[in-house]
Amino acid sequence: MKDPYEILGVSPNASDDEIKTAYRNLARKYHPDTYAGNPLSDLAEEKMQEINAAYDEIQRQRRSGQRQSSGYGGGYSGGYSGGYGGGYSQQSAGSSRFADIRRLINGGRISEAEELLDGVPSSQRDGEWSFLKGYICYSRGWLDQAVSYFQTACQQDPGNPEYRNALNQLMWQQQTGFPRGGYQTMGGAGCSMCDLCATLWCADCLCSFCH
Amino acid sequence: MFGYIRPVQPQLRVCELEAYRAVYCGLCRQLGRSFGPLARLTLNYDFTFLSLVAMAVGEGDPSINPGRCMLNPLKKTLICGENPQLAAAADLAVLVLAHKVKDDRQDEGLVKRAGAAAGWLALSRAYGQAAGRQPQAAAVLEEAMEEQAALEKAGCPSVDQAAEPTARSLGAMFETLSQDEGQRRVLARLGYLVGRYVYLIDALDDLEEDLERGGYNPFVLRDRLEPGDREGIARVRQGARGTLYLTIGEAGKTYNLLQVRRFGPILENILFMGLKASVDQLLDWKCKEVATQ
Repeated sequence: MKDPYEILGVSPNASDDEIKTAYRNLARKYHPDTYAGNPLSDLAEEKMQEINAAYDEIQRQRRSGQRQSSGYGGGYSGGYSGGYGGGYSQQSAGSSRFADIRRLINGGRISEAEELLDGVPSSQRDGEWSFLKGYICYSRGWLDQAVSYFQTACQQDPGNPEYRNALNQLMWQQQTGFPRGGYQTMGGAGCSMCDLCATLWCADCLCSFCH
Repeated sequence: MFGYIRPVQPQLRVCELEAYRAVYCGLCRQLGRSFGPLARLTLNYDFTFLSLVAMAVGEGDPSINPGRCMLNPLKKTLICGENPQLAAAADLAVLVLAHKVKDDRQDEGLVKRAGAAAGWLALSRAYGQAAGRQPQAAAVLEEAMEEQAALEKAGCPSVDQAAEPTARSLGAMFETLSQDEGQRRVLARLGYLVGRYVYLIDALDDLEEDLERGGYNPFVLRDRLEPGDREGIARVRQGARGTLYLTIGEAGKTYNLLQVRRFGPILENILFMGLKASVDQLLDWKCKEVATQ
């Protein structure tokens, strides 16, 4: 296994709080909700498992090292694992009218799934149909069409959390230009872009005093 | 078409800026080595980005050494040394540019056509060399260009479909940068999204011109915009921003799955800030924001 500290991107001397923050940020970045329905969700899941294992390993090392478990013990371990389940397509496969199509999508057989979907008569095209169409567009990278299919799905079936999450993900991106789950790579804990600019500005002022 | 993929320089650390410049200079030198000094004029930011990605995921350590630029021989600067990733990036740069020039020969406007014809004359030899070394990429580009021409002729109103040929050819180029199966999938999607971004921001840039002259533009067709409709233009611009942001967010999400050996902070700067900055700059938000502060 790789150095767990390296995986979390912290120094081995980091405090428990720093490690917790680093873990939380990474867990948010690779959260199953962020990659739900993404054709690369299996890679995100691997990443998540790696992060969880690294966090657990550090916890274990520290506990056996100092023998004084101070409340952090295992608090987050495995917190997010298990949320991944093959993306959208397995979640309600049991009760789904389109279970066979969901299985095809899940296996990466996108064009076959699309053919079957297109064969569904228009009287039977409900929220799930629109959602699956949107999902196919999304995995191809046809993001605009994906948004409009997800919107239709949510209109047809407003209470469905699966459709709602898919739409919210993309609407968030449309408005901010960032993936949901945040972009925390620039500033560390509690240091936003604004803090960064303000700090630079202050430093600049101090410099001009010296001249 | 070129120059939208660049970092937000004030947000780079000094060492990162130096590395970025070193790769930029290295690519320029590589273009000279591969295709002769004239080819250095084709240097641009977009292929600096491609070089950075290639070196970030590629094997071997690129060397960065002090040197001097022909244009400013008095100043010593850092330059990235020769390596296979840089050579491939230079080939791809020439291939893409040559295709662009070839495409422009069919454009309206005598001046543009004459310029393109002259450009093609200068580039055709380099194109032959590059295509010889990268036959797969050349074939993909050729096919994409035909698809693009067909789409435009048919007046395709779907933004997704219009961006597809460019997106797919960049996806194919990015995919070749790694041997690892998982990473190739990440690179293919990242390239697809970056290509989509480039095509769409270029369409946004040409919006007014295309509207006036009746040139093909997917944003105009999507919202059925008529010439002279000023409110309509503002609406279309907002819609286009949403489409571009959506693409940028998705590219960021994809990048987070890429395992980079180096240049991580630079690539993050470009993907999470630079792409957005280019859109905002294009839509003139920069001036407005400064005015209201």
